[in-house]
Amino acid sequence: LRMLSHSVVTALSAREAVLLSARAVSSKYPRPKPRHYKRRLFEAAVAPVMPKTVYQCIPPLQKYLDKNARESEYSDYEIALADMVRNYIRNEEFRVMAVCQFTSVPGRTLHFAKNQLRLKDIEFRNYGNKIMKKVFEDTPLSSLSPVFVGSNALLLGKTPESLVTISKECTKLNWIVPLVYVLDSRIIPSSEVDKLAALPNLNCLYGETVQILTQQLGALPQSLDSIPHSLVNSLSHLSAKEEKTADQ
Amino acid sequence: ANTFQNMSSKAGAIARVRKKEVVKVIHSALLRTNIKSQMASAAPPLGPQLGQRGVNVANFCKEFNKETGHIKPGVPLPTRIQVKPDRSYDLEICSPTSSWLLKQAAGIRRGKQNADEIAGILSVKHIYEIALVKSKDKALIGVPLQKICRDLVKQCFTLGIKVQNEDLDPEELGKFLEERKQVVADQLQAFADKKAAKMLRTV
Repeated sequence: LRMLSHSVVTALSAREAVLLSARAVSSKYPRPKPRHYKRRLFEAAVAPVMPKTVYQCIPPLQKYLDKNARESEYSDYEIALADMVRNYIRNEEFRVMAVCQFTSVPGRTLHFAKNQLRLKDIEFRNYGNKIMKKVFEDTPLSSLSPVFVGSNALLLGKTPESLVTISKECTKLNWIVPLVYVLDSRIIPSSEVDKLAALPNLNCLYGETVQILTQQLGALPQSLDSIPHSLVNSLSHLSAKEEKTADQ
Repeated sequence: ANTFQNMSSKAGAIARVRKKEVVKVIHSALLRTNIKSQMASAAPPLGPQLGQRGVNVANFCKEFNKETGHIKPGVPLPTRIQVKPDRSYDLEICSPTSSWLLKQAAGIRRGKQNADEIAGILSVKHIYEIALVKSKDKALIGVPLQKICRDLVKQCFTLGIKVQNEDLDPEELGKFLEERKQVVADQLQAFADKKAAKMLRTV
């Protein structure tokens, strides 16, 4: 046994021999208690022959690139969830979406706030930024990727009036701040929506649009009429001048 | 002799119980519990829970029993008590617990004990009516009725109640409940025997 143990110990390093023979006694002892040296020699002698672990030296940049590559990979579950979210937005026919900065609040507060928003036809959803980037990949809204950084949430609405509703409701909640709005694949900054929210009614916008159009339509015949009018005036002025010189 | 005295003093020191430092626990202002209607009392666990938050237990019990006077005694009611800094409180009494409503609708008193056991049978109409009752709770205002129904079906799965689309047939249901009564009696007998055997072992 002594000759055998000697040969085995020389094959393994001292550290490996101790690790093979040491054991954790219980959870109350944080460090493994080494056994009697004879026991450790016996365990080293009968230890299984494992393949040698190769420790590879990876440069830090490679580690960083590998980590980024792993984070950009999507598992089957994540792809399925992204598809489910896309189908949900499409099937429910949501026209308005607000990407908001979301600060974590207690579950009870969030639950009641979600219910109150649902009564105003706004859905609160939080799927994570990785999933949302995948949802809008290869779509016109893929330019929203820089917004999906940090802690975000989505507010979804079915009518254009939801823009104003979302803006007003978010002013009452101090843990959610809309960053950007989307209406029918058109991206609207939050400052524009705040101006809309200041209006008493969205119908004012329709009236304003009609007013601008009628103004333009009214200005067109005026501009067309101005040329013959000016011609007539200039001709009458010339004729008056000629008469004056003839009289003289 | 000196070493003996030192050892005895050390042993005495070890034997003396070290006084624990008392740490005052600050309880949350919101107390969520189930209280049986008309049966609120100062007995544990309700009494200590209210007392630790500084609420007058006797007044609370009187108020709660008065508020639930119109409900059948013994119905478990989820209750939310918001205790304010001045030791006054807001009392919110919700509709009876889903599990109680489902068991009442199914005509059973015990849920399933084993994995594949069917403890009761309900139809989707029962689920809808129970969902209408639960939708009036403050915590479920704004939640779609479909979601409440789905949650109730999940609860049925936990209790072992089978939910079917068709209406219940009274004859079949009566037969099932009779069989179920025997099964429950056997289970309770098995529990009683086990308990008795344990008592005999300890004696």
